[in-house]
Amino acid sequence: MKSLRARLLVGMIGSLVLLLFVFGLVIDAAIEYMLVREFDFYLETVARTLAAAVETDGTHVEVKLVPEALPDIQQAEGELFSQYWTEDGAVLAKSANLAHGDLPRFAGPIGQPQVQPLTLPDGRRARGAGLRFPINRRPRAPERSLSVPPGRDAYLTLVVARDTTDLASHVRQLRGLLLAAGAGAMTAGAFVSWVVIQHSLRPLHRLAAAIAAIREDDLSARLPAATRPREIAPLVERLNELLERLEDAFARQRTLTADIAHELRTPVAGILSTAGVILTTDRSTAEYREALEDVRSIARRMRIMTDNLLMLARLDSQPAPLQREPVPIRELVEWGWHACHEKAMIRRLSFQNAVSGALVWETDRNALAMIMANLLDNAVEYANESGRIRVTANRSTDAVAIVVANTGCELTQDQIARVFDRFWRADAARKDASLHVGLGLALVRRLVTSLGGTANAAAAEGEFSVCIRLPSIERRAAVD
Amino acid sequence: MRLLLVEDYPPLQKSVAQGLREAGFAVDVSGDGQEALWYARGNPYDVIVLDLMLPGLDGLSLLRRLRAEGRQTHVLIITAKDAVPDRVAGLNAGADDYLVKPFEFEELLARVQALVRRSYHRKDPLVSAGPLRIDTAAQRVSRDEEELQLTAREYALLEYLSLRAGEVVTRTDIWEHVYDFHSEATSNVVDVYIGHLRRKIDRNDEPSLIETVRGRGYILRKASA
Repeated sequence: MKSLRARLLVGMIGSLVLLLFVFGLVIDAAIEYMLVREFDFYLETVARTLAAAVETDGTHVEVKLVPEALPDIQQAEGELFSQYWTEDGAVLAKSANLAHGDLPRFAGPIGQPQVQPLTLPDGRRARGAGLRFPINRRPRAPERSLSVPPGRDAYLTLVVARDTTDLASHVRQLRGLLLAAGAGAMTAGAFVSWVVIQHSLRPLHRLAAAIAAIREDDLSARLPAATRPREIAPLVERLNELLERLEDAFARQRTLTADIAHELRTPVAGILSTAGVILTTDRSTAEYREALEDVRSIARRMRIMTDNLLMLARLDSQPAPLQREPVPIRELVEWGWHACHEKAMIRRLSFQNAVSGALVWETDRNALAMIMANLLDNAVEYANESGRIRVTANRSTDAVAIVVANTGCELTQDQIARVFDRFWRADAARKDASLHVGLGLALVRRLVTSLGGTANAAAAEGEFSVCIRLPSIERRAAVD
Repeated sequence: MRLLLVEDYPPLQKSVAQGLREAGFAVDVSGDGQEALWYARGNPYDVIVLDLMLPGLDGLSLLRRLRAEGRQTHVLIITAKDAVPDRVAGLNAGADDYLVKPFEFEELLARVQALVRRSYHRKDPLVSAGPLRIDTAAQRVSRDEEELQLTAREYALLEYLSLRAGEVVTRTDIWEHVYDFHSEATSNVVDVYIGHLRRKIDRNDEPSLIETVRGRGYILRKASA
């Protein structure tokens, strides 16, 4: 059952039905028991009364029969029948309404009426009290006719029966009343349950409405927490926390998109302007060539930027599957340096690769190559004119630490903490045409993380250094 | 007309400077905020084209300083920041116009020319001086419906004179507004160019349209004498 309301309603009505049913059964049984007991008590009383009225003078037994004997109570409820038997089973007398048949003969211990259900000769259901009793002797009267042997105690058996049709109809009526009351209570209960559930679920509806009112382009809204029932409050809190995280993520995404757009604008402006100016008039081949060279160099820097961005996005969405192979670190550093040594020469930078040729580390070659290329490019970019760049590596038992350092650092500690942020640059303005957009170190940290390592930046005495620590595979596996 | 182009992104600096020079402007170029401030303080530029993100001193601070010093030079901001608050901040700092990168060079040129006209309190790009008609937008000059072929430098000189037609323009004015900082020119060159210009715009049988005011400079007659 999907609906909480239906579930609650079924649960509440179900328990109500069960409760009413059990309660009804108990009441029904109790009432029936009481009615039957009263009925039986009456029968017993009648039986005792009749028995007490039986007298003998020694020869004749004088019996009284219902209904003649008790005309006053006869009409009240249900027809009464009575029949007497002598000890030998002969019918002594029976009431007139038993003209065509007999009552069954039964009795309890002497003097104790026994009540049991029985069927009247005409087929009606009835209850009867059977009583075996001694006949009272009338001492003063002369013994006239003696049907019962005198001299010893004579016993008679009397069965008084009473039609139970009325009793049954009473019980039916009461049962009907109970059912009607039960149904009424059920309906009322169901209605109350529905109202209560509806009321209890209202905060959920309000919450849903509040959530629905939150638009994805404005996540600054928060759900009001104060008025919620206690059970919903944690939900609201968690939702608000989720909203906060979403807002942050969206804001970061927006900033990133804006940064990308902004960073792309400048080179696009360069291309547009270069092409626009060169097209204002007819020019010599040399001029066209120069303009095209300019456009190509701009496009090349844009390609680096888009490649880096794409790599970052890919790493964010699904980490690149890493290959494991022994990588000679020194060789990799040389390779990375080769890519930017031309620019380094122009800036008259000196370079020292202090990594031991014997150092081989098991890792992903492509990822580490990209890391080194970006670190060296960054170092060449930000080293002072005629500065120094130095790469060192240290190996411990479970990790290798590679440090790329360059002179000419003017960063403050606050700025050091931000160098790994995307699109962050110490100077908001570009230093030169290189279009260094602040993606290199962001990519480095992302790649190092994907290799299970850490990247940290530090500055001391004008030297900026980035240290990357790569754990060994065994170590990584242990951490994982 | 003399411009200062402050832009630190070399490809853009190079191409915009080239385009503006080809359009007849004398262009000084700087890629650094502090340097640009020094340029702007020392020269009577007609228009400053200013990037906002600059090393040394950012564009808005540079602009505020110039305005605080009472300099009235028209400033056109070119920047990649296109949000309304950025534009408002730029204009509120005292800029006269705001152009978002990337832009078409034609538009930059048109805006610069519009600012130049405003510098000389003109709205019509067509300037008349006697029989001369100068279209400052198309950079064409005609005399009596006949188009004249002028070099960029000659045109720049004539445009400057025509914008100040009826006024006496000193050699220093001309030198400062028509030649950029790196020109080898001295004010003597002005006389040489005035001579070149006169040969192209004057008729032999009529007095020169550019009159020499001895000891003070030159004057381009507004209407035919």
